[in-house]
This record gives sequence, C-alpha cells and structure tokens, in this order.
Amino acid sequence: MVFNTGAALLDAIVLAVVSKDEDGTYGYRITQDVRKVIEISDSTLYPVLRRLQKNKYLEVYDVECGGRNRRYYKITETGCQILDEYKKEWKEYSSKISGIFSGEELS
Amino acid sequence: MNRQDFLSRLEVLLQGLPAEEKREALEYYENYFEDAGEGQEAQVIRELESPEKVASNIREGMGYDTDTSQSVVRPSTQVYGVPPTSVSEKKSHAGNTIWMIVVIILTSPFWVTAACCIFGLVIGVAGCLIGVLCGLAGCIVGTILGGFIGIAHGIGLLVIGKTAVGLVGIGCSLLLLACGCLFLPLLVLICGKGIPWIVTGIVKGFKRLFKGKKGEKE
Repeated sequence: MVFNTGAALLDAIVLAVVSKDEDGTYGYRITQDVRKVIEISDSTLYPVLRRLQKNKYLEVYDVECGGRNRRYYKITETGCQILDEYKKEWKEYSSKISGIFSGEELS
Repeated sequence: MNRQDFLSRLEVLLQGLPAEEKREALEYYENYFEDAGEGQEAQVIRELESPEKVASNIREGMGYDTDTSQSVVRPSTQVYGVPPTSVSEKKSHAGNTIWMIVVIILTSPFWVTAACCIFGLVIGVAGCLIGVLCGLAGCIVGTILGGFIGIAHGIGLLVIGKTAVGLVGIGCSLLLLACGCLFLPLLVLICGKGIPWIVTGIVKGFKRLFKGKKGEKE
C-alpha cells in the first residue's frame, strides 16, 4: 500500500463499514472488514471508533454473550449524513486525481 | 507474550487515564481477543503489534477530548498506514516528561523555598509602598478634617465671647484647611491610582510568571 490514509478518510471508511450492518457490528469484525479495504494497523482502530462515538456518529449498545458484554457499534442519523458528505467529497477528490492520472486536461 | 500478559501490560500503560476511559478501552480489547477466537491469540498480538503501541494510540486519541469547548472532536492530522516509525519517538517523549516530573519533585525543596522568599520580598516591598502612601493620604485627610474641626471650635469660642481666641482659631484652621485642600488632588491620585496600581502590578506580575511556567512546560 503506497498511499497513507488520512484520519478523515479513515473515519469515512469506518463509518461506511459499520453502516453496512443495519443492526451494527462489533470491534473485531469492524477491524477485519476495514482491513479488507485498507492496510492499517489494528491498534489504530479503537481510538477512531471512540472518536466517532463521542461525535455521535456511532452509537453503542452491549449484548450479553457467553458471560461477557460484547459492545456493538451502530451508525446514527448524524453519522449517515456525515458519511454522505464524505462520499461526495471523495467523489470529487478521487475524480480529479483519476483525471490527472489519465492524462485529462486540467480544467 | 500471551493474551493475559498483553492485557495486563496494557492496563499498566493506561494508568492515569480517566477510570471510565481506561475500563472501556480494556473491555474493548478483552472482547477483541475473545471475538478473534481460540488459537488466534498470537495472530491478534502480532496484528496489534504491542501493548505500547495500543496504549500510545489510545492516549493520542484522548488528546482531543481535553478541549471540551469543541462540540465535535476533530480527527488528527496524523496519517495512518503500515506501522509508522514514530513509536520510538512517542516513547522517548513520554520518557522525557516523566524525567522532568521526577527532577521537579526532587529539587522542590530548593525552588519552593526560593519562590516563597521572592514572594515574601515582593509582598514586603509592596506593603511598604502601600504603607507610605496610606500615611500620606492619612496626613492629608487629617489636615482637612482638623481644619474643619478647628473652624467649628473657633466659631464656638466666638459665640461664648472669646472673640480674639476665636478669631485666631478660625484663622489658623482656615490655613490648615487650605493646606489640606492644596494636597487634595494628590490624595485623590494616591487612592484612585497609586494603591490600585501597586496591587494590579503585583497581580499582573504573578500572572505572567505562571503563564511563563506553563508555556515552558508545554
């Protein structure tokens, strides 16, 4: 992986991954799914999830499972809106880069 | 290293974090190991790299929360990717801070005493200045009051017939009053400006001192 992922992009990817599950998903799963998208050190994910939660883009709920509490993360309404904004930004950003890579004229 | 070692070490490294945050972080990673499944321990530890890395990421993530004036926590400007080499930098930075704290505590008898001395000196000098100014102010007030009382007394003497003494009394008192009034503006200056100036001067001086110390630490 040549390009490093900025924090905002990582936020967007995590939100997108979590949003795929209507009922939310849990830490380990999120990490594994995110790693299918980008190469990233597993130890960086928890602070991201925590920040998204503090910003109310994700909400959490605990499910009792095998004698312990497993914490699920689920995207919120605000989170969905932010994700849409991120998607729009990405479209613009990536199309410009794709453009210059494919030799398009700079407009 | 096994899972228990990893989590114990992580718990130690998270010392100093708010209890709630620490508990949630540890719970997250306990769950993480559980969800990875039996036999995946080594793999997970490899992926997490080290308790130090995990703790440092958590601490860095917390940095933003200390500013509660922000309604939204801004993501850092750090970029993520395959393990950055900044781990050792972060470690030495933490080490430095600890050293500084140790040194400050060890030398505290010296600088605490020095600080107290300087503080005492400043207060002493300020006290002197204020005392002198108060004295002056008192004199002026006394003069004016004395003048009025003297006039009243003089009039009283006139009334009971001691004309000469009475007139002399009034004359002198008027002189006194005039002297006092002459210095009246000075009195106003002292009370209105002089003393407040000294007090604010001290307060500002201390403020700058503490701001400077804080700036150094950061």
